[in-house]
Amino acid sequence: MIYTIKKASFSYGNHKVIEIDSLSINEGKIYVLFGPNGSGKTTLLKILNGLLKIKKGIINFEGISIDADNFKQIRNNTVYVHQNPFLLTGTVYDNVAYGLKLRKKDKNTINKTVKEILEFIGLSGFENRKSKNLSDGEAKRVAIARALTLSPKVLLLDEPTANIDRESVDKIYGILKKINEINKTTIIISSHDTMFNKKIADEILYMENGSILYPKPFLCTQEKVSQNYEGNSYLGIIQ
Amino acid sequence: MVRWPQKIRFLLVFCILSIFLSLPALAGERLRLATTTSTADSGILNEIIIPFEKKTGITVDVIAVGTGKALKLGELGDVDLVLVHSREAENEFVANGYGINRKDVMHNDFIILGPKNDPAEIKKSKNAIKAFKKIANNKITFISRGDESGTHIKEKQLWKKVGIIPAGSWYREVGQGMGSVILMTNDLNAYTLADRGTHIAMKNKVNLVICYEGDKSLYNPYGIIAVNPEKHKNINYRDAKSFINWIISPECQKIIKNFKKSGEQLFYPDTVK
Amino acid sequence: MFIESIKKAFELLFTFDNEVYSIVLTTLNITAISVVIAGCFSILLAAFIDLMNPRFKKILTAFFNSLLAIPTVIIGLFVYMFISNSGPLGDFKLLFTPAAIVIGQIILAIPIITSFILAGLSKTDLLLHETLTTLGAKKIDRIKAIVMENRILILSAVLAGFGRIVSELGISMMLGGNIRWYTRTITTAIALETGKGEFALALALGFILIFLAMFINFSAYIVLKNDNLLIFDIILNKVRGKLNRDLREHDIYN
Repeated sequence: MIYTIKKASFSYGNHKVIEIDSLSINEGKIYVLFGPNGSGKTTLLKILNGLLKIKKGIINFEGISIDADNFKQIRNNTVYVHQNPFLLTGTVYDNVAYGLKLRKKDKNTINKTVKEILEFIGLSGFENRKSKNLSDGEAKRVAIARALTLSPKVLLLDEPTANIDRESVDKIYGILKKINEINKTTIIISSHDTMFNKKIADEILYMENGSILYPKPFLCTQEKVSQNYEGNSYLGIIQ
Repeated sequence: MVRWPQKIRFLLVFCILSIFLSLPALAGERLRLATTTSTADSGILNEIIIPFEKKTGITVDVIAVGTGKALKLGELGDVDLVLVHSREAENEFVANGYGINRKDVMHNDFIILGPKNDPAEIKKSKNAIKAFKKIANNKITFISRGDESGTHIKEKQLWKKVGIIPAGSWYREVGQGMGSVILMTNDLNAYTLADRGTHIAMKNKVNLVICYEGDKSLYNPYGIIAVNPEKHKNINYRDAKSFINWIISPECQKIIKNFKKSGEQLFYPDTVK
Repeated sequence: MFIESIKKAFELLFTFDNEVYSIVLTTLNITAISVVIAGCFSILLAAFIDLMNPRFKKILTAFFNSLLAIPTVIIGLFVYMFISNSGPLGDFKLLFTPAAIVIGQIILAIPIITSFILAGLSKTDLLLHETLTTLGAKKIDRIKAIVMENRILILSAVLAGFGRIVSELGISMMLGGNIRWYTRTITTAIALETGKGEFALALALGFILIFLAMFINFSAYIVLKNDNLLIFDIILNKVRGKLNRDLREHDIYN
């Protein structure tokens, strides 16, 4: 279990956004958060990245209990990619290398890593392209590449396939699958794209009103649900 | 492409160098003279200062403000010399210990400027005080400097002698320099008390005429005073003394005598006939 | 009078009248230094405030906005009290020098530039911050990123600051003393000539000031269009090139 969450709640002001009784995430699996707008998917992803801190409850990451002092644990090992990622002004190289530059890696290492990762995501030779000239699909892949340079244990993506063309969706599918297979990275995605979800997810978590519920069948893909539900403890409902 | 941190460093170095170069320490010894705007505007200061700078190599900074402020600058020790035209204020300045080595420099006179048709009929007045009284009685608009300048102080003295405190919509205290006041007087067809020098300089710009002149109460003497070096540190008394000696020297007094504008002499030297 | 003034403005500029050039160069020198120093300070200040928790941020933003209302004469008076010979910093002999004007103008420019930047920052904020956090940025990295991402905004803010200080009179007059050849700026010269009734000359100087401001703003626009300080790059590369050549000549490498 890379994450264990118990009795967690989070509110924006007086408005309660997340209320989760219990949630466990297995290492090396791909999860999809599925649910209506406003159900708290993005908030949950941000909590799992340490961008937001839960008000009540416990989060365990890699077995260590996380509280206000050691948020570093989560932050250093997970990366969150926004739905509309913010690319820094400059080139693709500047963006992808940013995380490594922050960690003061030497130039040679950075160059090598960037080259490898750009190849990995299918954007070789894009180093000198200006970030403002990229298409949406390319921008998303660059954002993913930027996250990958940090070799995170957990990759969190918010609507990675929203608003981009079919071809790019397939490319992103391929990339995520590869990352998961090769690096055993845990991937948690929030997505409305049912076809994509069907293909990629190992587990689907259905959210409504800030809680993870047993999925309503007509909203979720039947196969995945029944696969998971078949007698198995459906993650999120029971211990 | 040059990285940004380097650009910022470049800019900062440039700035620091520029400031360094303009620091007073590197600017050489300077002598600071506070004087009145009318004195500065007349143009006579250039004639007096340039030969002095040439001879001595001392740079003279002229700060032209109202008499009140000039004396204040002396009091605070922000200048080394004051050249003003207000005998009473000068005497008080010296009596309070702010200034020493006071010398008469030159004199001219004040005049009452007004519209061509002289509505208060002050031309034939017996003296300046009577002229002022007539203006007040007829409530003809009068523009006052209102700024504690030499001119303003003289004006106030005259009103005192008339025995009234001028007030009402006809009496306007504007708090501006002599030039601006003359322009305003012209615009409003009013009267004002002006020094002859500025009047001569502005003659061509306005339709005002001298409605009254000649009374000895309109006498306007200029005095120069060195700021007392014992009251403050950093006072350049040595150069101030040199300048005072220069301005009362026969050579400089001659320059003052020969200074003309529009063919008229503006100032009359005190130590040379 | 209007046309006469424009004619006079061109006359003054192109007959290389010494005094006018002295006035213009003094003005440029002083405002350039003031705006650069104020700019550097304001940028860091704005970035710093942007990273504060929302309540402090709001209070400080309101504070700087209200500083915009201070008349220049008051700033002049305030600084005067310090640098006067009778004041605590009198020994530095700053009064009636260009340096004194610089001090006053920096104080004038900082609220404007800071407020301008703060106002413009609110938009890209959250997304940028979250991205930086998730990538592991520390505070100093954030400040660098905020500055880099908002280069155009910062340039606009600095130009606004420049506009304010190049047109101010109260500070230059009070702290500079309008000393001929030394601290006479375009605005103090305009005030002087206006007081003497020399309206045409005053207007001419005014036009020169406007031409100057236009030149600077248009240059900034051209630089912005290319989204990098190309000319700056060329100059700096030339300087570096020459330094490298010099070093090689002196056998430093061998």
